[in-house]
Amino acid sequence: MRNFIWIFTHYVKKNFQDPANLLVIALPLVFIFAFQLLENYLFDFMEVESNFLYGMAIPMVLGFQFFCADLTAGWLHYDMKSPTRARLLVSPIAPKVFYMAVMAAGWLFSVFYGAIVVAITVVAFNIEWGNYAYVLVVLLALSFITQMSGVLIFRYTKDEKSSARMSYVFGEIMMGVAILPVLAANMTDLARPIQTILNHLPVSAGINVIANYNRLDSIAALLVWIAIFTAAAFIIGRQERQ
Amino acid sequence: MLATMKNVTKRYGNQTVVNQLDLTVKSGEILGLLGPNGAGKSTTINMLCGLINADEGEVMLFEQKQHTKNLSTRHELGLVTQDITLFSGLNVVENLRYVGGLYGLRGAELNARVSDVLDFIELRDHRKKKPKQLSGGMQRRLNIGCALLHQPKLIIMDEPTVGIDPQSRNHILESVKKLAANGTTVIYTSHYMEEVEAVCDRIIIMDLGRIIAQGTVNELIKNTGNESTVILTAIAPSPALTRALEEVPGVRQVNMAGNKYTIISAANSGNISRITELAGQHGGFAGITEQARSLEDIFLTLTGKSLREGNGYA
Repeated sequence: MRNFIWIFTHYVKKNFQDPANLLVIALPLVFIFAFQLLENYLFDFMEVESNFLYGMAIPMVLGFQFFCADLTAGWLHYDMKSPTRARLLVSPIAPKVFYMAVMAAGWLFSVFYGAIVVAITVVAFNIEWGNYAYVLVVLLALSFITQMSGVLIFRYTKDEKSSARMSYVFGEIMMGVAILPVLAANMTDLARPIQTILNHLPVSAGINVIANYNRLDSIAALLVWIAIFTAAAFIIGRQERQ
Repeated sequence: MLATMKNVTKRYGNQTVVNQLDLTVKSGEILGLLGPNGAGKSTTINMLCGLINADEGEVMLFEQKQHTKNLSTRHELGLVTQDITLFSGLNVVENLRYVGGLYGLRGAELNARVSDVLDFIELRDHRKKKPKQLSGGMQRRLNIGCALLHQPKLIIMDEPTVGIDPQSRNHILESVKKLAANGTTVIYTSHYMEEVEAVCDRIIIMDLGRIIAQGTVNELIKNTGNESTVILTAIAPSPALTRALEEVPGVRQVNMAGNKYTIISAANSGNISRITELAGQHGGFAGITEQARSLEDIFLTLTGKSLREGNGYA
């Protein structure tokens, strides 16, 4: 446990000290600000009352969580696919302890960042998030999935650059998928199987929990995603160690 | 014995990298491990460190079976890798503190060890610098410092002086001697024969995954003492001269580097006059000397390869 805490603390510091990580806080707020301007424009000049900001802000914040996969994948590349790998492997730290500590540090950072962004959207943009306990549950779940996906990205990329590229693509896909149900204004127009899939993807399940829409169903979906990503990361992680 | 390897074999695919290796490391000695590239030195070191498992045979370290999952031996083991294994985002002190923490050092004990190591590697004045701001020699010293924090019983140094200036090299060699004087066992690999001769109590020469000779420098010279080395500086070196020299009775090996021929022949064979005669017939020669055998000559005789020059073994 002492070793875990030592490595965890090291990577928590590194996550918070890296100025590039501030981007994941700033970018969704920039987008939300743009949505607010658009909503104001629609209301002031076209007299259209929309709920565009609310509809987009939550998926935007939750979708951005997935960019944090780069934290874990990046640090693992930096330390485990470089000469420092030998330094770490020759130490009395079990590799699984190292991996878990890096993931836990990434998890803490992404939950913290998510909470900050949520707080700013409440104060600056009057976004209504409902029950904050559920918001926290969703943030914990999505950031956990994000860290597991970071391990998978690390495993299947050869260096930090390709890992960062894949993390961004992954983040963009997850955000796109999160916004898709919102853009499809009338979900009943879509075929039922597509509706079901869209409503049970990680981010849309998170939105449903927050929006009190099929909450139990959506929490179950999040748990299934956690199980899938954890199993994949565990199996792939074992292969990596061998 | 601090470490033993018995009948150890390691294969990568169809290639046998280490073949039925028997090796012992005595407590308190500085053991030199020599061999051309591909001799199996790094694989041997990796097995000793528990970074990889042997396919066959037994690796024992500190009276425990060594393998990738045995973490208890790691507290007594320090590895100085050939590559610089420093965390580039951390400064000198932070690197030492982080690595010390990996070995369970905390608080006052960690501070004291970091301070001792800073003095040992003479980087106190540079303690706030990041690795990129240090010279190659300083980075090497910090690399060594990271392996010393937990005061290991055995330190394995894999070519710790690659690419550094003579001053830093001397500092490192002195450090190795100091460590051994304090009772630490050191396994030292290098491409520089003079370093190995200067610091090692015992030398193991490996080639093609096997040990081909071992002993002190004097023992190695004595055991291969039935040969002498002649250095011929030719005016017009040519393949024809090389072939002619190879055919001289008693000559066992001819190596050419530039206009210099290193000829290994049976001792007291009296063929020096025949060599000068042949050199005269092939454009003449600028000089000829018969040398006392060095570790480099022994290595050349045993492996047929130069450690640093030619044949792609540099």
